[in-house]
Amino acid sequence: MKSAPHQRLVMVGDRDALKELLRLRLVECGWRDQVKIICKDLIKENGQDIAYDTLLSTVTSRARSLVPDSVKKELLQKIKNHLMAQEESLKS
Amino acid sequence: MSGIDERVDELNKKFLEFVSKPENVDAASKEIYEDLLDEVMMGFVFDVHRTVKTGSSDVEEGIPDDESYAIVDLPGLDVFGQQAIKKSQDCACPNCDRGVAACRFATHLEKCMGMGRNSSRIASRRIANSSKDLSTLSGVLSDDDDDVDWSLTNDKRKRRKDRNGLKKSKQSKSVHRNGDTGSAGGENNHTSNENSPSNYENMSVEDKRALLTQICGVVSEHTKKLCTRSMRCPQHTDDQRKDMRANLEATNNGHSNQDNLHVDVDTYEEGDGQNLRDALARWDLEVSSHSSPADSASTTSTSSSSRKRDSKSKGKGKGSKRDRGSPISQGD
Amino acid sequence: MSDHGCIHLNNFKAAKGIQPYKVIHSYFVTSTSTEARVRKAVSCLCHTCKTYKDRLHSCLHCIFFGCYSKGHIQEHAKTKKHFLAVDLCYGNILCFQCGDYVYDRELTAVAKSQWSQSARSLSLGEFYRAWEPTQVEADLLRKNPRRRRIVENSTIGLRGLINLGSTCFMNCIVQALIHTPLLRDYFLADRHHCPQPSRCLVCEVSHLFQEFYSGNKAPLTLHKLLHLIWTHARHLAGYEQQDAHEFFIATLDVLHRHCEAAPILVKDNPHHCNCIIDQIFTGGLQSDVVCQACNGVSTTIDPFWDISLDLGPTAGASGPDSSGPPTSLLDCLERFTRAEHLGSSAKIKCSNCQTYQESTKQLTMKQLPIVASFHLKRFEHSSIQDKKISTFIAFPEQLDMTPFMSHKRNGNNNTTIDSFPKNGEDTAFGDNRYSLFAVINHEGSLETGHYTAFIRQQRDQWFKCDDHLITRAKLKDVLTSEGYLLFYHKQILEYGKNSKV
Repeated sequence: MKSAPHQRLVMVGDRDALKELLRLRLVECGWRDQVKIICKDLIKENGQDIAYDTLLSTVTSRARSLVPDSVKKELLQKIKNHLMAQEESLKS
Repeated sequence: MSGIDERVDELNKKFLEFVSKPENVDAASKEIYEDLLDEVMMGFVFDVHRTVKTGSSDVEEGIPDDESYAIVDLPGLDVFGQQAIKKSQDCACPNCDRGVAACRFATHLEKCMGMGRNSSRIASRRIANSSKDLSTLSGVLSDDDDDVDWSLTNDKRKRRKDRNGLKKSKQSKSVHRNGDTGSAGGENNHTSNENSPSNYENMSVEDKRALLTQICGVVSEHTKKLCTRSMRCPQHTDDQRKDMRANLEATNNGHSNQDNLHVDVDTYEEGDGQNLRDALARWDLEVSSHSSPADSASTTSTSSSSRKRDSKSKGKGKGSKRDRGSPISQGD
Repeated sequence: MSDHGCIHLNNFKAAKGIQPYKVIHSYFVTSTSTEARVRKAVSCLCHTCKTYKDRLHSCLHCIFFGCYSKGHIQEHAKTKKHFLAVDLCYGNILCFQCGDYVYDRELTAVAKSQWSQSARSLSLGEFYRAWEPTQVEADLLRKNPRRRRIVENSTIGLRGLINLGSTCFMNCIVQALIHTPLLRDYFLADRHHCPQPSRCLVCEVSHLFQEFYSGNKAPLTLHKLLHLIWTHARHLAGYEQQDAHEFFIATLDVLHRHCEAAPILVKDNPHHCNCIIDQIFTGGLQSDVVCQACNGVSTTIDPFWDISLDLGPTAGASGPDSSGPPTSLLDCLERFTRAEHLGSSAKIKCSNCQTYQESTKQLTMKQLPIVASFHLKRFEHSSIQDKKISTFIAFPEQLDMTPFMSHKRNGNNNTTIDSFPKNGEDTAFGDNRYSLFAVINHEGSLETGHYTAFIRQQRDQWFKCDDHLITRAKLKDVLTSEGYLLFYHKQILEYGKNSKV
């Protein structure tokens, strides 16, 4: 049951749109650039043969906390709104 | 498909059950957000990983520039670290290829392109003098000569700007000048070329008609002069131009009300002849209902309306839409 | 270092072709149809632990989904010796034998086109993709390895402009245009191809961009530009001081005329084309006239390049609605888009009820341009006296234009809380936010004044441009300046069908 909200949003296409919104916001606020810099630094240290997993784990530990609150707030609100909207549309 | 349909129904049921509790909704929102963030982050890292693995990032990287372009933040200096004093510079005039001091280029260009206030007077003078064969003034007048005029008229030029804005004051100035015997040179415009606009009053109807195919021709209420801009002159409407020509025809035989006309030849252009004749011909055939963004500078004033919707624009036309604010910026 | 995959992937392709990847990608990565989305929702779960997350992968060899974080896809790979898998988030291929993701040009192309399809089926325009060089571009870049990077605190992009004799109005407009991000991108990407270079204003502007980004520190003279403008916009010509606003409009007009003529987009209106000027600067202003008798609405939409805003007290103002003269840009815009009652002396014939009636008129933004330019009407003329209105008008750094848009204003809120845009309406998730990037000020009186400009470089660095003198400025200086022309740039751009870029 816990996966139901996720699955419902996937089904109606909302999840893709929400993901795109989050992505835009993270580009706009410069977070993506921060991630790029972290990656580039890591590559400079470890060479270009670096594996994806290494990059990802480093970024996760360093950059995840840098996401601005406003972005998080906006997305939480929108997700909630969409869940409610789906509830409405199923009930009617 | 029924397998899928069944599963969809089951999913929907579970979903409704789940969201019936508000705390579930909040928890789910949070979880979904975290998932999305993880995925977007993964995507950004993939972008970097991919460009590295495919070599694009190297290609992009290239060899960095070694010169420093750092901004300088010191008082008295500009961002380039230079002193804040103006150095004199020269440039080549695109019109006549002469070298001109940059700070006087605009002045030069105006005369060079034959557009200045003085240009017509100079041109007329030239014509008059060459026919009278006065050696000192034949050929190209020196810049210095014009400068003398310039400063004189600058002083006189206390912006008598009337409602139609910037250009009108140019015309009014020539009223002063023409009647002003104190100006340098002191030549009388009116003895110049017979069919030039300055001699409008004395021209035959045919000549007037011909002239009116080349210039806007609308009489300004304030200066009583013909507008000698092109037929596309934005200050006057097509209706006004039509009226003007109709007027000419109507008073062809009778006495015209053009006695007091005084023509300013500032912006008379030779080159547009054919185009303008065509334009005039087209007026009768089409009423343009298209607005161009250059026309409609939006305004809150409800009394002005775009050409498209209200054909009785009473002489306001584009002039009212475009702000005729013309603050003067004197150079340095 | 390649985009030719790896030997393992190539062997697989040789044996099975690209079909397996295509199918997996279209059903489980992108979902290009409703049916696909349903299938994805219902079956994209790890076969081992039933999770939908944790970096789910699909086996490329068989029908198996396994998550990565808990090791289930790795297990499958080892046991079945199926060494290729597809990540279900982005469609990237994982080669277990190489121990990393590998990239194959052919499969990347397949993925790209499916993403486009998917975006379209969701009416999202296009998914944003970071730029990557094409083959040709990559070759060019390799052959020319020297790079000039615009890093923080760089003077690249800044240059002084010599005053040619009261031409500060032109200098300021040029500074604003050079610092218009989209315009800069267009020219630096060399997008203008010219049939007639010698008299082309667009070519000259292109040269100017090259000069501004050359790193050269000496000031420029705009003598060629001046000559071209005076040639093509005769009504502007003459030494006398020009109004910067008028010059701006005339310049856009000449540029627009000189740009490559693209097919005319809007039927019957020859003035609306697809040139870069229109793409960036042209907006649509909707005018609704409502007949007071029958409530019939007559709507027209006119293109605009800028909005001129009155600063005086509201004419004929009375009642609780009216206030004093505006003190901020928002006030001005509020007033501009307010419904106005056209008095009894301005009755309009209603095409609906066929009588002359009083009416109300309202202006709203139907379509916002990417660059929104505002002109504060500070210069007033009368037959008696010309004057300059110098009152302070506050303008924000960030501006949300949503309240002034047609759909908002006309009260038909057919959008749900945050519905996604349909049919390319100009609201990507309802985003109409703009940020200030240039301000042109007129200092001094009507008779003796001088234009200067503030422009923004990079994200938040402001500079003052006073003819040849370029100095750093603080945002505070910008926001407390008088403001005559204000230039705002849309923050979020859309890509794809309805996009402009």
